[in-house]
Formats: sequence, C-alpha cells, structure tokens
Amino acid sequence: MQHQHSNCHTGSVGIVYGCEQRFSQVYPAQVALRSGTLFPELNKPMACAAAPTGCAEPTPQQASAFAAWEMRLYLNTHPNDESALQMFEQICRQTHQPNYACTFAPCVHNGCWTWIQDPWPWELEANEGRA
Amino acid sequence: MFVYEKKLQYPVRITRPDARMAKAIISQYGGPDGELSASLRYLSQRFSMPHRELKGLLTDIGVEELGHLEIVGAMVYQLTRGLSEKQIKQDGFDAYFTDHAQGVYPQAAAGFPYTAATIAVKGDPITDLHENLAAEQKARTTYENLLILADDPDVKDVLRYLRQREIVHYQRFAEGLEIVKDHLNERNFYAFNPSPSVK
Repeated sequence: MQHQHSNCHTGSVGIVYGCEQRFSQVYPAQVALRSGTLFPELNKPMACAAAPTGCAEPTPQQASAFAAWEMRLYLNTHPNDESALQMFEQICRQTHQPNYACTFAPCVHNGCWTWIQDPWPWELEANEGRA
Repeated sequence: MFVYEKKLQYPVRITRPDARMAKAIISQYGGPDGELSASLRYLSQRFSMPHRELKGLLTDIGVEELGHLEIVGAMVYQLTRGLSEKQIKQDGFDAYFTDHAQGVYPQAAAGFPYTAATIAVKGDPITDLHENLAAEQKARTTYENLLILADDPDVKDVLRYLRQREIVHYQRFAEGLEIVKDHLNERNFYAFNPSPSVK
C-alpha cells in the first residue's frame, strides 16, 4: 500500500515517526460523538472507563456536527483524500442546521480541501487590500 | 476572526453537586495541561508554522480546545451549583469560595493561577509539534487521573469524551510531524532551522 509520507517502520534514526491514519470505516454520528471519535481505529478507551455512561444524550445536530468536525481534522492532514472529501460533503449535506465545521469558509472546491489554502490571515499576502 | 457557536460540543448534565470534584476538574480549565493551555499553545504556534496543512490543523485543534475549555467550565459550574455552606466546608471548597464563590476561575487544582509558563512556542515546527504531542499526552493523563477520582457517571462520561479527543489530536499532530519531515532532508532533519523568515 502506498503511503504519502515516510514509512514508519524504516528510516533514519534521530527522529520519531508517526504512523499515518488511513480511514476506511466510520461510526454512525451518534456513536461517534459518544465514543469521542469517528474512527474505530482511534477509539482507545481507558480500561476502567470504556463505555459511555451518564444520561445526557447528544442531539442529532451535535452528532452530525461532530462527525463533520472529525472529518475536517482528518482532511487537514490528508487534504487530497477523495473518500474523505466525499464523506465530509455528504455529512454536511445531511446536516440541516448550520454548524461551524460545515459553514465557515467553503472548504471543498473541485475536489480539494480548500480550507488550508494560503494565504492565512496573519500573512502579508492576506492583507494587501486587493479585491 | 472568531465565531461562537451557541452549543457545547458534548452535552454536560451533572445533577449532583460535588465541590471536591470541581476543585480537581478545574485543572483542565486553568491548569498546566488544561484546555486553556492547549488552545493558547496551538493558536500561538500557528503563526510561525510553515505548510498550510499545519496552519489549518493548529487553527482547528486550537479552536476545538476552546470548545473543550467551555465544556470544562460548564462542568465546574454545574458541580458547584446549589451548595450548602456545610458542603462548601466539607468539600474543602472554602479557600476557592472565598476568592471566587461559585465563579469559574482559571487556576490549577493546586490553586495557582493560570500561567503560560507551562506552554512552549519555540518557532521550530519539529519542536513545536513535539511539544504538542507531549501536551496531548499530558492532557490524556490528567483526564485519566480525574476519571480515577470521579464516581458520578455524568461526570465520568464527559471526562471520557475529552480524554478520547486528546488521543485523536495526538494522532493528527503525529501526521503533522510527518508532513514537516516530508519537506526536509531525511538524512538530516535538523540541517537548518526551517523557520521561514530568518535568512
């Protein structure tokens, strides 16, 4: 399987390696929010506190906003992942209330994760006053 | 620019007051490894980060940590509602109550006020990402310590959620580190300080 980044099992010493996540399955939004992640492979509970407890049920809006948010974080480090882009768009289409993850700055354009595009607001290029 | 969305990322519904637990949980509000530390660290580091993926990641995770700060504040608020004077004294809450009553003040569990002395912004992307990896682990451990202390299922549920978020953030920062390394010479990642503007 080809990885975009350094192989985490071989390579130079003197630096640590992070293994890149490649998602395949995701939890349904309500399960994801209760678990604290959309991705089963990142669900790593503490032995004595594994299952969700308590009575407060998240609303469907909170759940789908969370799913969109998780995809957003994933897309920041995997901006060209097509299945992630599709999933993000699908979640946002299904989310009826505006929420931060889907609403602020149109984030997908022509199959690219445009949220991360330069320039960022603190950079000179973003403040040059051109229309 | 900042936008505020008028909802919690995860619901907080604590019906049993417990000032003793509030005194512990407040560390994730204003303590060394709490959510205020995390958000300030990431939102500050992003200015000197090269690579757009990292600017996006630090912005988004920094913003999420502000949302978590709000959740922790909500927990402290709910845990200290409707306390009797007797409960305040029995829970050892009198010192905090003297200066803050039932307000939510950014301090550590041990009582020292919030300080940026515990965060690092080194201006070097490799170093800053290692700081962040460590920060997420410290936050995870703190939530685990709180889970050991907590007995109320409504409290544990939120702590469990917040702990899991730290693990996800840890993974994202690890991926961020790989992105930085991809742009460097893999025979010597330290050949030059990749800070973008020093010539």
